[in-house]
Amino acid sequence: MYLGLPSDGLCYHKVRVRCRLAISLAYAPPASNTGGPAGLSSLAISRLYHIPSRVLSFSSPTTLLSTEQMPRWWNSFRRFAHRLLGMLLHWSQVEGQPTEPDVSEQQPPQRADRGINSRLNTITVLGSVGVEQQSGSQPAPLSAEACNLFGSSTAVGSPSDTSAPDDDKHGLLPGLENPQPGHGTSSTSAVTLMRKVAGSSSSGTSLPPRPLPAEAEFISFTVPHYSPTIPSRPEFTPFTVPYLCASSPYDRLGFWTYPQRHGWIVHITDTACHVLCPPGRCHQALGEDSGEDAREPNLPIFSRVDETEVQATDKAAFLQAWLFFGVLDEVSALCGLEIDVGKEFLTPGRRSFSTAKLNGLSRRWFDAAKQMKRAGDKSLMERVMSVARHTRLMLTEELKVDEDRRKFEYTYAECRIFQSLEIVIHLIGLHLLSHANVTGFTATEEEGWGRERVLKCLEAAGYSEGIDQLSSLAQYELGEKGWCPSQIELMAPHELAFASLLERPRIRDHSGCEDRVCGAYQTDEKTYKTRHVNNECQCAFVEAESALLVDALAQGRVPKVIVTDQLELEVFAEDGYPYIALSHVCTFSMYSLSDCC
Amino acid sequence: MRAYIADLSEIHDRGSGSRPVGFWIDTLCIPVAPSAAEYRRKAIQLLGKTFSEANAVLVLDRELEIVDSFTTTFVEIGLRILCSGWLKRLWTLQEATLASEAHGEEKLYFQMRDGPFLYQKYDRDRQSTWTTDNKTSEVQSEERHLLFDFGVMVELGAQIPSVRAMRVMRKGWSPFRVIYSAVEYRSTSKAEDVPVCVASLLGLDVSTILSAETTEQRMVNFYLLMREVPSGVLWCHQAQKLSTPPFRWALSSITDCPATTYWDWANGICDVDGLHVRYSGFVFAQDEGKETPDGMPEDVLPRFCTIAAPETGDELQLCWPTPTSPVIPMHRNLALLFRPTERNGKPPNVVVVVIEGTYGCEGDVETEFVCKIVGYVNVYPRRHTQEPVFRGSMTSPNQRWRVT
Repeated sequence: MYLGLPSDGLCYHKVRVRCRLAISLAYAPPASNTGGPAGLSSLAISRLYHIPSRVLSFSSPTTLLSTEQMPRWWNSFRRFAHRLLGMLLHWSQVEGQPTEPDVSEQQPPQRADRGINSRLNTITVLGSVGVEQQSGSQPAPLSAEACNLFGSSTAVGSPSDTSAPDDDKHGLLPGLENPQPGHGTSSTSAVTLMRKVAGSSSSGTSLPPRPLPAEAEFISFTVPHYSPTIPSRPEFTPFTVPYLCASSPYDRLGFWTYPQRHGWIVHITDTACHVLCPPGRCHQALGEDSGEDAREPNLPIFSRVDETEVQATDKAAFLQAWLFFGVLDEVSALCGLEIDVGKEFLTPGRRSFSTAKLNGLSRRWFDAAKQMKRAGDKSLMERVMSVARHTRLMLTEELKVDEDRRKFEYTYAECRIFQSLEIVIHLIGLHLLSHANVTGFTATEEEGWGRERVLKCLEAAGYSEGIDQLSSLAQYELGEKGWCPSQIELMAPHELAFASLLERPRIRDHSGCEDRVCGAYQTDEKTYKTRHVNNECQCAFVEAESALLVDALAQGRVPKVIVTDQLELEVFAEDGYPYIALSHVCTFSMYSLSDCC
Repeated sequence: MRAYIADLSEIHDRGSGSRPVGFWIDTLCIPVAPSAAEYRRKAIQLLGKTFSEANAVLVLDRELEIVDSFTTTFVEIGLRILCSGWLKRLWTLQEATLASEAHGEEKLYFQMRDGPFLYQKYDRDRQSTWTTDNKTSEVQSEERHLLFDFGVMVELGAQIPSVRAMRVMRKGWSPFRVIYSAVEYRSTSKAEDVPVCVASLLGLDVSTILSAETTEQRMVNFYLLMREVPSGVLWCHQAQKLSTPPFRWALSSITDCPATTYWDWANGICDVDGLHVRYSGFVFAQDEGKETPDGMPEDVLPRFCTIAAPETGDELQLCWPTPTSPVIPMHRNLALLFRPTERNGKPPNVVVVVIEGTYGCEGDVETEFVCKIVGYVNVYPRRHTQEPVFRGSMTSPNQRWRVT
């Protein structure tokens, strides 16, 4: 793990981002020419594009709450209390029907957060003043179902999961029954590559079948909040990309030979020397010290058969057709998912499309593979992996010959295409993990599935085409949008790219903030004025009985308040009574020295 | 206002006649009257108890309240929390930290548009990413990388450390290191709040800090409570230091230094006599510094010079860190403390001190030099003899120093 101190004169908050990334890279491929510390430098480079002047015109703070006349935390608390009590009522219903295990129907979708159920349940159980109906009840159907779906079998599968368990038991293939590589149109080179990949892992197809996994259920990677009544949390924030390859769309005639068919020559090949090596490089040959911030000059990666010069837009369009539509088509075919990727994403006549449909695709692949009895099938995984590896290799940043500067300058919109390609790779990675998560899945040391093979092979270590530029542009955009420099400072390239997709209200003016500490919340106490839900509101400040607070504190107890039936605030200090502590930004210091002494 | 309470109360009534759940919020539950100052201090001492005993801690932040937690990606939720005003303030640190992992329960919630979002769900496998070794399968950490979420998760983990991370140190870590990353990006309008907040988090007795009457005294009491202080603070030449001896070595703000100040340094011991450390050094011969009869040094340490220890044959070249560095008067008992060689970093690598006394027997290896910092210089192996040459002697590698 790289945690050494850089001695290149970076100021220390940059050191910090580097260290965070270094920790992150400890899980990525081992130090490599463009990986390891070098991977960090795209951030540093992107700082060069930092344009500090932020001329901001802030609108007045958005009033997000209703217009009633209460302090602004009130609505939130009210909603929370509302939900809490809703839960209490709900459990009493559940208790009334103890034989009915299917709680999902009783649970309104918006309240189906099981973790909260179990937590809030704790509140009622702990409370000395319990709800009557609740006493002695065991809300097992709710709370026992932990949210940790990474466990063996708690995932809630698709309807087919539960309807045909018997089929699943004997349906999984050990990897021997479908040795045909790729599409019918797979080229020689593709087959060669397949062999290489297969040869690199000793599993191949020569090993005897492994014990069949007991069951194969899709385990969502976005689980908290997963329940049958709520769609899975999206994996990737969607965004719009231009449809550049309209003039030369993916032809569905085979992934591996697409460049040949369209007059492109690819100049780099995957070595795949060891199972954990990233594409095109050997992690064992690479030393620990790869030199920081080094962009290794390399040869051209792509050229045209007709020897015309490749333009940035050409490359973006070509890679979009091949590595977005082509890869999705190829992996879908491997998994047995019948899908017309073009129709899925494109609306006729539109010049752009949303990446939203990528979300959930990993699961659809898995379900299709399961239908083919190939969930957890390692030969399938190897073939999917080879596509993803190749995609990663093709996205290696292309530099000017004998220079360490990037060759192509893309538009912001074109950069988003490269971001969508990164997501495709990560999506395939998630899909591979879902195979590796199948209960009973085992892999040998040589196969590497248990050794972070997905991450080591697929995560970009260092520069990836277009991403460096994207993060610079995104960083500039965030500054223009009024984000605090201290927040921007913390983000790595991909985080900048995603952050720039977010809409945020301009609540504070950050034009005076520094790279490290945000000063926008430094309000002078003298000018501090309690905000009301409605800015026009003139109502009096709500106060609790001071003497009661003092009494409780004098006894070393924490005074809390409840709202009584008479609509008054009542102070209480008894231990063991359930309460919720609210944490909010108090713009003046309750605890300051001058007040205390 | 009454409409709200009525509304809430109505919901409570539906809760089958039970008493409603209570709540604690600083603006209501800490007495604000000027006459109640004593009890306000008491309330602050009880903050740890307040948040660790709460059944749930609910974070209210206007920016988070517009987010639909159910349909938002992890990286987006993480980024929004990371950028929220709530995370930027000092006092929310202890509220969050004490809420996390108290009694092994999960209870830190963020209020979002569709209801409270349980933070620990988001955070759930951070622990395992730390403990992983190369051989263990770590699917969760792979997954978080693939969701572009790992970095944000690690950063949030540093800024909202768990109680465990604050109180049970990872091997070789100083509490200062954890504090630093948790406090680094947080702001407060009152500098004197920092030691109170941090001590509360660490489970130390806050009352001794609260009873201090000045900001400086609060920091002094804080360092005394901490006792072990990474000796890297001695080399923080640009930081603002406390002004009263024997704490003139101590940083006024614990984050006013590079993060690396607290990384893997040997701990010094801070007590009422100062900071006790062990480092190799160089003691100038007494006659090298010429002082006037009233004890004022006549010269200043030249910008370039050589120091030589004839007994051991060591010779080193010395220079100011920058041409504009503050001049260092040539006191009679000047000495140098060398930064350990394994601690690479930017110059200066040497602290210049004046020895004001010794503690223990003369010549004994356990003799402690009582000294104060007067400046910083850079020392490097001799390339050529740069005049003037100052003579002196090298100390043992474990020389005891008490910095005041």
